[in-house]
Amino acid sequence: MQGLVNRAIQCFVRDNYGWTTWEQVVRLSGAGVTSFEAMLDYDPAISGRLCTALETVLRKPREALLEDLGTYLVSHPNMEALRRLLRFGGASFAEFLTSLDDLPDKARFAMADINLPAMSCREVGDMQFELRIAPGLPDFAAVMLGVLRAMADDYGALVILDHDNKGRRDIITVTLADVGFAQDRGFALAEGGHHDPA
Amino acid sequence: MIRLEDLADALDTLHPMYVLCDADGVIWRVGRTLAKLIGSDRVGSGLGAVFGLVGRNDPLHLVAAGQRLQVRVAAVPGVQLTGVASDVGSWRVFDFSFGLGAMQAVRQFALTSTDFAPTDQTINMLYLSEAKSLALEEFRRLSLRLDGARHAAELQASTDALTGLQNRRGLEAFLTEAAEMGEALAILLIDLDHFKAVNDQLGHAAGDHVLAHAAQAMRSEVRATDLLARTGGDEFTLILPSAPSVSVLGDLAQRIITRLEEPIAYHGAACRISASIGIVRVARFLPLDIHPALIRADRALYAAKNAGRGRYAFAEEDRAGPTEPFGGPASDGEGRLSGMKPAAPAESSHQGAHAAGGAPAQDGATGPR
Repeated sequence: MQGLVNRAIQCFVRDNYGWTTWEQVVRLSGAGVTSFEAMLDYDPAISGRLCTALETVLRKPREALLEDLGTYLVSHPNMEALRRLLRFGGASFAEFLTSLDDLPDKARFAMADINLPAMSCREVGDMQFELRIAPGLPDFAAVMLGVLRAMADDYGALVILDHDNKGRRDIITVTLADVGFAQDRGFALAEGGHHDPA
Repeated sequence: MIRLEDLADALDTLHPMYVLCDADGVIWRVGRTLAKLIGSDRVGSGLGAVFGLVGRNDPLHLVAAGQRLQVRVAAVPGVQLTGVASDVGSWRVFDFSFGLGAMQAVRQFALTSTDFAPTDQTINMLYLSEAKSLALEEFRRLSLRLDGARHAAELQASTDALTGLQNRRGLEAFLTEAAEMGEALAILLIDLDHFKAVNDQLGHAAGDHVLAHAAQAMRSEVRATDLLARTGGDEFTLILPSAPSVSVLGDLAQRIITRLEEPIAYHGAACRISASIGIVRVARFLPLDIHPALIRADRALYAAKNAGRGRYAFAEEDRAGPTEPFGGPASDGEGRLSGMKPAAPAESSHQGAHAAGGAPAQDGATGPR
């Protein structure tokens, strides 16, 4: 999975800040390579060092950067394939939220060595959901925050997100302010087939 | 007694691909997803007008309940469904699914996730199929990149894997360095004769064996300070620093040919090859000389080949023999080919005189066959 993570960071920096910024980041991180392969394994420490280097080069707090990364993974045209896989989660944003419990299993089904932290999402009030993320992958919740924000946009929903990481586990509270706030970007079950704007 | 409407409502939620018919096979209700395939106006039609059993002729409404069914949809050629029938009172209910043809059906009928019951695994199957294709594609690209890197690494390496000799890259590095020093040197282009026949008749493994053997034989004839490279399939290049005299070079070329003409044993067979050699001498080798010198050596080799193989030839400037200092300016690059040197050792001491002849010597002795 380390290859996928590093590759994601690489694509994020390359597509948003350019190749020379990426070169600075890898040099500073001491990763020893300039390009990561998604399907290969790397020292698990490298991903963290890349993030730290990124903070220094872009002078931006880590959590904000990771949230941007999460948004990038869903909304950038180069990442359309990943957006599609996530959209299999449900026909509406609320359905997508409740399908997150299955996300680690689904990811493992796609590639056996992907190990996402366990997640559980439950409805805690009218149009309010609580996503609890098990500990184990420190920066994951911040990335998820960006993913949720971008997925809400994708479904055309307006949401308010609140991240609480004071306890042992991260809790993201999602308040659905308006499910039909904007145009749904659409999703057809069969790739390249008919789109299904909700 | 359950009412038809209640039954239909339940079925529409649980099995949106259902069909409900009476004992005569007349359709009364069609599930909302199946209606997208067969049209919503099929209520009142006979089952047989809408579906056909695959590989069987009996009417669909009479098949045994619980049996696995494979059906065609008349309105949509190419689409097959898997189904099963069950009786509810006097009604007969069929439930269908797409199976592996789901992708095509989803595309053709613009189906969405709401067209499938939440318990239906079709959506998961589509998800997995897409996720796996992505992973495979990524692996395929990785393989291509790794293959490219391997290829580049091979090109960068300066030794030839089969013979352990230097390769073209190693040769170029050596020549570049020699040219920077402005040294005198001699270049021998050695091309194996009859090698292709060995390859064709005994196979590539025999060919590889012969190449490795030939490389070893040549290496034993040269000094450690000489550079011997394999520069093509059956082409070798030998560089001698300090350009020995024509007679010394002739002797060496003849020794190499004689060695290479010794039969090479391979699994009970005796492989026989020979070699043609083109030789050029350069008094003061400068960077601009590299290319012209190689061209002249190549022409000499070509002449040796034309003269009947198994012999060597000097480039024109070198034919004058040992009395002439290193054959004049080497950098003109336009040296035409010399007269042929028959590769017999007895003649190699008379090369100067031989040069006047010009034309390839028909009677030139060659080494032992």
